[in-house]
Amino acid sequence: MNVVNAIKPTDILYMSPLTVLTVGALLLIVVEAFIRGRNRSWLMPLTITACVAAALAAVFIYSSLTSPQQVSMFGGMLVADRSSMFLTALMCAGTAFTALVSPLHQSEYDWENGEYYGMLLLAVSGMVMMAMAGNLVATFLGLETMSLAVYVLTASRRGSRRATEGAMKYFLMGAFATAFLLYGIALLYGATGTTDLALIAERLRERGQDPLVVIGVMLLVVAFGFKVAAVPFHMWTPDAYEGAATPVTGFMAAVVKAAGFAGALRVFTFGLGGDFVPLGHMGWGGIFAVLAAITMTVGNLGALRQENVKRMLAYSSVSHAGVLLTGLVAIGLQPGGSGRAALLYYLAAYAVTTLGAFAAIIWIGSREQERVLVDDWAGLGSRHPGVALAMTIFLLSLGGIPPTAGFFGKFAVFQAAMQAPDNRLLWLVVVGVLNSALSIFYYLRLVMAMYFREPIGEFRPLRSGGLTFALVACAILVLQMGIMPGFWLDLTSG
Amino acid sequence: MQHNYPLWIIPALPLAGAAINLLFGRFLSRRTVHAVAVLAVAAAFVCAALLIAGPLWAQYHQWVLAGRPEVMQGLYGRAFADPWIHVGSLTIDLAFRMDTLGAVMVLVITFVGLLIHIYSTGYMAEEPRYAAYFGYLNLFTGAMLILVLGNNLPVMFIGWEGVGLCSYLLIGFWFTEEAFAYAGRKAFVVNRIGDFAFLLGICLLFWSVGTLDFWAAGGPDALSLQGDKAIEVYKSTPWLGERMATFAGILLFIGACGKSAQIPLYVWLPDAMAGPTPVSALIHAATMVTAGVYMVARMSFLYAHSTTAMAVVAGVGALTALFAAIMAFAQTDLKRVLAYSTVSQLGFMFVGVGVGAYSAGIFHLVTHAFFKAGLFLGAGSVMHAMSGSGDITRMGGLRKKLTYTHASFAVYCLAIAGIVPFSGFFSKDEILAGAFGAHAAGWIAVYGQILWAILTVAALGTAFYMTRLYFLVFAGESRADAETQAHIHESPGSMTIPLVILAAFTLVLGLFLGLPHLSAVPESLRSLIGQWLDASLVNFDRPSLQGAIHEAHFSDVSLLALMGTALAIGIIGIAAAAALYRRGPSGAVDRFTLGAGAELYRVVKDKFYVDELYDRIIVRPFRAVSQLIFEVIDRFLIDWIIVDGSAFVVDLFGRVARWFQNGQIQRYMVGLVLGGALIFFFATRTQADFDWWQSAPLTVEFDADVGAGPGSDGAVAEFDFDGDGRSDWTGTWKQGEQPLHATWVFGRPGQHEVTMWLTDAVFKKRGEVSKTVTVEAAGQPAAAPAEEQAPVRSGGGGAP
Amino acid sequence: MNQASYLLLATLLLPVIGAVLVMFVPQGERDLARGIGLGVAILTFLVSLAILGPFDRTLDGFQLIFDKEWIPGLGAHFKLGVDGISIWLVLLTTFLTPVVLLSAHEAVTEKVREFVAAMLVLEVAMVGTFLALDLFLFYVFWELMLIPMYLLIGIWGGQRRVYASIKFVLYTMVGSLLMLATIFYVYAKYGGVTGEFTTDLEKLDDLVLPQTAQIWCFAAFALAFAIKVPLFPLHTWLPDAHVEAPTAGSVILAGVLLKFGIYGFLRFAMPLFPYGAAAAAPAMSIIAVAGIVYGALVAFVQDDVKKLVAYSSVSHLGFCMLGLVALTPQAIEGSIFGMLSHGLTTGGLFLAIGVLYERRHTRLMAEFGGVWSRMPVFGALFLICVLGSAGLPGLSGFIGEFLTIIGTFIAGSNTFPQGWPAFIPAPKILAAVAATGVILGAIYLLYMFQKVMFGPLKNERNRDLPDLSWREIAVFTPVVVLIFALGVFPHRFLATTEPAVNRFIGEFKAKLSEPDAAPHLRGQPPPGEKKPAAEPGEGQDQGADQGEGAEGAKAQPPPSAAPPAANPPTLAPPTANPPTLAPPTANPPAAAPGGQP
Repeated sequence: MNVVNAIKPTDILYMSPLTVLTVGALLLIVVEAFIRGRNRSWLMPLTITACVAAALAAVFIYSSLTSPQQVSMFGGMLVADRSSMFLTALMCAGTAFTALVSPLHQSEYDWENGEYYGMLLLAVSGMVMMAMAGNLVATFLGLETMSLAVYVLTASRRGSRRATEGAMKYFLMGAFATAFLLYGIALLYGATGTTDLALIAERLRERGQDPLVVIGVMLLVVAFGFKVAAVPFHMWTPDAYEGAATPVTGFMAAVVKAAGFAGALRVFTFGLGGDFVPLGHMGWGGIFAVLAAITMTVGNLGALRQENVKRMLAYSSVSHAGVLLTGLVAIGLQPGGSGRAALLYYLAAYAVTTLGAFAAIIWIGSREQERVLVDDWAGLGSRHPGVALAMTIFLLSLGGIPPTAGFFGKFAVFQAAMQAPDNRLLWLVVVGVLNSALSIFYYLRLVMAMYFREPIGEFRPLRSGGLTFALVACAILVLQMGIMPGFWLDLTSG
Repeated sequence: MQHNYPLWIIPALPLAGAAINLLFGRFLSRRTVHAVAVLAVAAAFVCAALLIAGPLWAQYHQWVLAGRPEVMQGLYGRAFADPWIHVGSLTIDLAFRMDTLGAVMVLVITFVGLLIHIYSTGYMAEEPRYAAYFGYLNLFTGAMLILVLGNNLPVMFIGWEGVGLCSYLLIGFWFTEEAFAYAGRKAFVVNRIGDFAFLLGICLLFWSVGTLDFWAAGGPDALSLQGDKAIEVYKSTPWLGERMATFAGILLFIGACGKSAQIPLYVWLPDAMAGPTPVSALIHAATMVTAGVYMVARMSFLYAHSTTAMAVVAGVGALTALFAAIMAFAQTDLKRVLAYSTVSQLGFMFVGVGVGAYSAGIFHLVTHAFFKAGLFLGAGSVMHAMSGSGDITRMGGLRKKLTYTHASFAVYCLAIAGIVPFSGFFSKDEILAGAFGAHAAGWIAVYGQILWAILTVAALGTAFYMTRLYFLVFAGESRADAETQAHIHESPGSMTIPLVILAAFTLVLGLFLGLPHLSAVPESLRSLIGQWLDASLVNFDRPSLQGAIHEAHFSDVSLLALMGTALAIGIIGIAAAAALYRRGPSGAVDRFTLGAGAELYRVVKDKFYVDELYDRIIVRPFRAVSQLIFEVIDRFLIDWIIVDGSAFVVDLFGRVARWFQNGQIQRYMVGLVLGGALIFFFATRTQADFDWWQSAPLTVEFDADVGAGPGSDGAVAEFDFDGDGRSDWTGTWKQGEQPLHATWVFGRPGQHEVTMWLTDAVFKKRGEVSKTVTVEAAGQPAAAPAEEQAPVRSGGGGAP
Repeated sequence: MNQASYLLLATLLLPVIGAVLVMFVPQGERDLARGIGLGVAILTFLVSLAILGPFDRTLDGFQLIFDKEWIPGLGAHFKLGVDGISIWLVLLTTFLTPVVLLSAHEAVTEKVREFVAAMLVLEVAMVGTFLALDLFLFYVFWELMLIPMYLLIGIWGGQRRVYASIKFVLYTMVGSLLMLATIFYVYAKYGGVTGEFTTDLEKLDDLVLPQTAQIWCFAAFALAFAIKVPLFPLHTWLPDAHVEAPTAGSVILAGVLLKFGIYGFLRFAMPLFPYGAAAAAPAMSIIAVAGIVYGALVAFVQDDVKKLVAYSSVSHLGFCMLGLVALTPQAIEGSIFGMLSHGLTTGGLFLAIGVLYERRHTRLMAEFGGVWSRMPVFGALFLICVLGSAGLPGLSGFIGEFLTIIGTFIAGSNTFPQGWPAFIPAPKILAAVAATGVILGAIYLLYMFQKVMFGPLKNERNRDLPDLSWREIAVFTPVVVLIFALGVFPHRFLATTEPAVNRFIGEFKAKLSEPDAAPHLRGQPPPGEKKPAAEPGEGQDQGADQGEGAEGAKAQPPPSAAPPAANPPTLAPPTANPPTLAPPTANPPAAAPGGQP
């Protein structure tokens, strides 16, 4: 069909966040390459500006849309609706946070490579595309853009061999997973003759289901399972998280995961959703349900004995992926239900908490030592009560203890799952709650270290306005989201 | 609503005294302290006397004029307008009632108590914790008064436990002695064992009658324990009235055994002598230990309804009387001898109340209160003189030095030995006579006579050991060391005066209150106390008793015969003891105890090893078992195996997970691929399932469960009902229809093996399931169990 | 929502403000922190006392309800309210908090600021849990309680504090999370029935679940609460927590935290799932009685005073549990009163132990002996607490035990409304066994008291123990006074509680007599055709086939769980149509657990 007709002038407006980010990314990379001198301190503000601008645009679009309304642009290539805009804003905010806490870490462990910020923006632009994808091709594009950028980010701490190793593994596995994604798309195309999600849904409804579709869905499941680090596709996570520079780890844990789910949300609940695909014998609902159970459990078990905080948080992010998958299934089983709102809320809550936690990790690091071991946190409560308190709040939120965002997130997701017809997810909820009991143990280990143990020697933490701001903001936000979740729930249920 | 008399003031006064002395005693001078204490009791005595002389006497008079109807109501008074406890059907007022029985008790308690308070001011003069001592003493008096005045069982129970507490505190008053503290605790715990039964008795009565008041505030016709209405309730309960009353009666009596030191719970009393002597006199002789007797008399209406319970009470009492008397023989400690004699005398009282001679039992309680209190106080005076030692083998010859003490002591001894005209003679004789003449339905023929025989032997023993005691202490030459001898002196007036007063009462009480039913005695003077008490005690002509019990009525001759026997017994006992111990320890006895009777003597001296027995079979096993369950169940089973064990298992998984994550990317790849494969396998396998229920005789409905969604669109289900392996029914499912539904009529009822095959639309894979279907000839199935019925359906959820 | 209902809000918010204030006190200023804490706590107590004013003793329902929409998306309300039961527990909480803050004056000298803040936050959580009339709100407070307690044990505790604290948290967590799952379930079911999704307790109370579902839901709730109580086999966290916790922690733990178990049964588990409660009653009554004896026996062989008292709590709360399942007014009031009394007496005991510990830094009985001769005042106060705990008539302990025993004894007898059978087997025997607790209590408590206070002064280090300071006397006096007051004038407390208790029993009966059908509101059973095979899937799902044990078990109880249904007459008044597991054959799925119309 005629491309020109396919493009409506309003599309430009609706895709403005994406535009801002992409343009920003390219500008930064190019300009940075031509600027002389070591001083790169101006990059960070620019990045943040870009993100904020994009976020504001997203907010504006969000408010201009009504709840069920979906604006498709470029012939359905991209779709703008409230949830995608919410996610966009969320991911931009996350990126801004990452940028905010990065410089100090960079200067301390000298990995001040200018392209870093450009890559951040590139990644987030990919994410936004995933979130807005109305077409499997768009999804693929977004996913790849994001992935490539993130590989680079992982490796960006050149000095460290661990970083390189992690990045390598991440890349290899990622490539593998991408293959799955492509095959999946191909098969779906073969079965339905289109890559447009809306159309796919239609066709499926018409012509029932055949082996191609089933296998295609399976492959997509694997691919997204990899992106969101679901067991058994999670194995890259600990290494990559541990290897990457802490700000990047935070970025991966919070934002990349959100992006993964943004994509999954699009593909599975719009394209393959409908009212029946997930319910049938061959649907993805059951698969994800089991994956969710395994993911939660294995993630927690893995985290139990970790001495390295980053690694521990890596596993914890795996287990959180399990909870999020539960939400995804809930949406599939009950498209009209509160699942979507719960999932989005959980993504937001988890992002805020994780960013805060990693900010804290950056905070207590210092040139001599990056202090990523649990023992390094001993006695923080008496030496630096402020940051200890903040970290405690984050950990409680991760553990899902009231009155924090994490608690309400779990609450919302599980109660949405419980509303699946015929208590189909009852068992999953039980597994979930038991898991959060399990998780308490290792989160509290850190609290114990901070409060119950004597400090091991004095050290000079990395202080900076940005970092402190990030910490305080996250802590307050976590509490606010936990105590007054109504506001956020309204946003997400839009 | 009956008139509300300020009865509460009687116990309140001593309690107030206690409060003052315990809270501020440390700031007060000794003079103030004992002034407060003594005055509090004196005031209580006066109040009681006034109430008795005034309204109660008037009521009694009315009652007599009315021709001694059923039971006199007495004075009622409640402490608060609000009830103490009120829940649902259970209402307990903090209410008191003083009838003739209560009046007697109150007078004894306050009067003897008063004397002992006065005595204490001298005896405890040197005590550093003076205020505490008097505080406890007052507290005890108050609690005891609550006990006897309470209008319902729970209020009585307050006093019941309260006196136990005071006994605990006073026995262990000199707690720096480990042994004394232990004795106190022993007393409390043993009492608690009794109270446990007492509590259950209360529950039982409430369960069956629905109230716990002796007399309901609404008067006799309101629901109350006393009065025949309650008896009707007994009869209406699932348990027959008699059994009901038996259980309740025995449970309450076990409580009495604890409080009044009867077999098997008497063991605490001898040890209780650890307390200061006045305490022994007040608590462990005169008042507290008689609470059990009082309780039985108070519940006479209950016991009267169970001759079984009566038999138990009397039997236990008789045995205790004899047993304790024997043990008293071999004791060498002054107070211990008295302690065992107390146990023995309490046994007498229980026989009295047990055989239905309630007034006799109470009468003996009163006289005993006087002479036994006197004996203890005398003993105290003696020990005071002997610089604290109570070893009778090291005494003797005190006759000359302690004039008053000796004289009064002699009187008490004669009284307890049952020599006319001392009060003990009359009271004991009434019990003996009551026992001899007692007969109740369901008793073995000569039960009363057996009791009488046992008591007579016990009485003989009593006379003997008391005389022995008397001679060893006062007669002959002093066997104490010179140093002690030098200090021997008569006690101060504050101690001797009470002794004399008590002696005087011991002398006249019997003559005044207890003249026997001889035609020689004018009707109006016979057993005044008996007449007085009858106003509060059950009357055996009560219709509801159906003449189960008949009171003994003796001819002059037989009565005289009984009295003669009793007197003779007493004299024989005294004579024998005098013959042996006239000049201090008897050589003959020593030769016997060292020679032929050595074994016997040791056994008796060591109290038949009962304490050791209890220690072996109860105390130690109790501790051992506790230790065992703590170590095994708590530490090992729950904490180690279950709690730490589960933690360990989880941790193990954690280790495994880490091991798998060894950093080799190959392994990661494998995991990824395998995971994908597994998902595919599970997700695409077919699950056949169906559910069934019977709709009509032999007709069963089947729902082939094909799940939902395109995966099932066009799924084919085949049923084989007759188990021949071939499909009897085939159906194909179309999107959006009801599940495949088959109906089948079976040839015969019973178990049928039904198989279903499901072929899914996508991969054409065939799944099979078989279920056993139970068919019943009669229409509805009673209840195919829920498991069967829950339609197990595939799809969604955890259905990869 | 009248003005008075703001009193509840104030009671809840004051400590929050206090905590925030305290956190701004500079690190060094201990006395300032203590002062603020104490002041706020006392103020809170006064405010909570003021609740008694507008509180109407004759009403049986919830009063002074403060209700604000909280999370519209979830249907969660910020809903507070009191009835005759919770009001006393709230007062107990607000009363004990200042007491322990005062008692900790010398015990806690480091991180004072944090300590005070933790105590105040704890108070908020506790008061909130008692006041919450919304399942979500309740759960939030319920979990919130863990954290400050965890820190109290972990930071200011003894040597094995880390082990004890984590044990405490995990034990409680496991239970309460299953409860959370059940809350979701009830929430979903209520939404399914009415279309209105809410966590409002008063509304959810009208929901009647199928009996099998009730059994499972009750089991989940019961686990959470039984751990808190703690009931017999689940109690082992308690001794550790007590021994390691600082005095203040122990007092609060024993005084208030343990009450939440019983309160939870009374307020949530039993009203929401009466059938489950009725089915479980026999087992629970036996467990409770076992706990009474077991706790007492084990207490007797402890050499650490604190452990001894900790185990005595197991014994005492066994009484409360027994009274609850006996389901006679006397027994239930007995158990409520027992909670109050236990809070005071055991609290007092822990305070006393704290006094000893501060002086000698040991809690082993062997280390003491003859202390009375050095500390007579302390001895007297200690003795009163001991006797109160041993249930001496005239002190608070007796009333609770007496009522519980007598109430259990008469369970199912003619003194109780006709047609109301006993839920517990052989009530008389149970009562008798429970009553042995009265003996055992005397045994171990007096044993402890003798070892510590009586006997000669063997240990040199006890020679110059100072008697109580005025501050310490000030700590003890209110407790002791209340022990007397409750023992002598219990009527006021009982009278206030009675309407609520009667209502509890009445609603329990009413709900129990509902037919066993798919979830429905009380009094409106679903018509037969509402549940055709159109939606045959009932509660069961593939997960079971996949060997998801947890779920498989959850959806299908083993027959062993069902027997109570086998003999309906014993469970419902004769008037009601007997509930049974066999559904009308017209709609087979109705029988399945969690069936929904």
